Amino acid sequence: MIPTITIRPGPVPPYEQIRAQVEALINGGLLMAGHRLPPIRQLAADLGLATGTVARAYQELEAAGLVTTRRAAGTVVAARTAEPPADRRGPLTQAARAYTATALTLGADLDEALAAVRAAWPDPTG
Amino acid sequence: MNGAAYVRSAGVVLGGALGLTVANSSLIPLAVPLFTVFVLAGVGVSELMSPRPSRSGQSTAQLTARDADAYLPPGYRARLRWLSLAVLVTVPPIAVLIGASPAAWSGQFSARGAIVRLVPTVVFLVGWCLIARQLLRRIAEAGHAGLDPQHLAADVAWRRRASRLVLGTTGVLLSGTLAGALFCYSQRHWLMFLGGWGWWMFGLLVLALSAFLVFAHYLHLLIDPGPAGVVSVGTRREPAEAVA
Repeated sequence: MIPTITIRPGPVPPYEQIRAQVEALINGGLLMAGHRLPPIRQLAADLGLATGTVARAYQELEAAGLVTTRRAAGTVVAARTAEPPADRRGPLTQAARAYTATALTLGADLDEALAAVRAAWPDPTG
Repeated sequence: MNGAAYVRSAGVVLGGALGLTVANSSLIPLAVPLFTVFVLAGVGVSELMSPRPSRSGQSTAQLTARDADAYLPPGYRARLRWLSLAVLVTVPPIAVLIGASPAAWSGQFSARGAIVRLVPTVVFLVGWCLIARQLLRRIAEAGHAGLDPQHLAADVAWRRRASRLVLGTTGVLLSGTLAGALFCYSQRHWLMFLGGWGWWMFGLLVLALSAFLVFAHYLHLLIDPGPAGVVSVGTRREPAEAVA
């Protein structure tokens, strides 16, 4: 199924609506890396907007590193090279909660628990 | 055939007849430009008679790029490339041979003059090819008529028809120029060496008839590019061309 975006009348400017919806689709995995987005003129014509509005949304997406624009290929969804911090924080917090529960069950205090983590952490020098 | 197809056919017939007539006069540099103008006038007038699907009032769009190639027959790029190469390789030598022929009109005996007289032909053909490329892109990027299946189908039908019309026009102009040049030269050659068997004449006519077959292929595409695919919201109308 091809993802769609809709512009609704309201206080949020159309370029921001385009940017936010495309960003959500990319982060949600509905637009995969390498997916070719419609050309500016096509999207503007489909949505009934000025080309400058769509161009601004694409520029902001490109500045955020979500898409790349090349003359021949057009605008494509960029490959994600590294996990952003926001995605890492959730799983780390979940694991920390589980470890804390285990440490408390064993009767360990915070210093002991942190010492155990430091001891388990791999030594960067070798 | 319908009204719009008759108009396109009239453009090709009148342009072809005028081009071939002019090619046998001192106005030979105007042959291809006149052919081009008549063909494009026929296509332009016929398009004014053929409505396209009405624009959607929705502010919704699919996030995928429409490709101009998707609306054209497979392999059309390669075929047009070969046809352009054939025109490029064949027409200048023929222009030189016609210019150098004793049967040429007075004052047209130089090879350099023959090449200079090709300039209007080059300008019109290259100009149209550049416009056609832009038109194909514009057709693919034009706003959609709606995202429900009925409108999507009508939209695809319209884009396919319009793209094939551009392709047919390009093919007719290129192959018509090639076939016309070959027929024109074989006619002059026939006048020079009237009577008897000639391999040169035979070869010329084989090439001319082959070019004419290519011309017929593109002419078919130009006259019958497909249904217009017109749909209006609420009521379903027949394609305007079929009504006409």
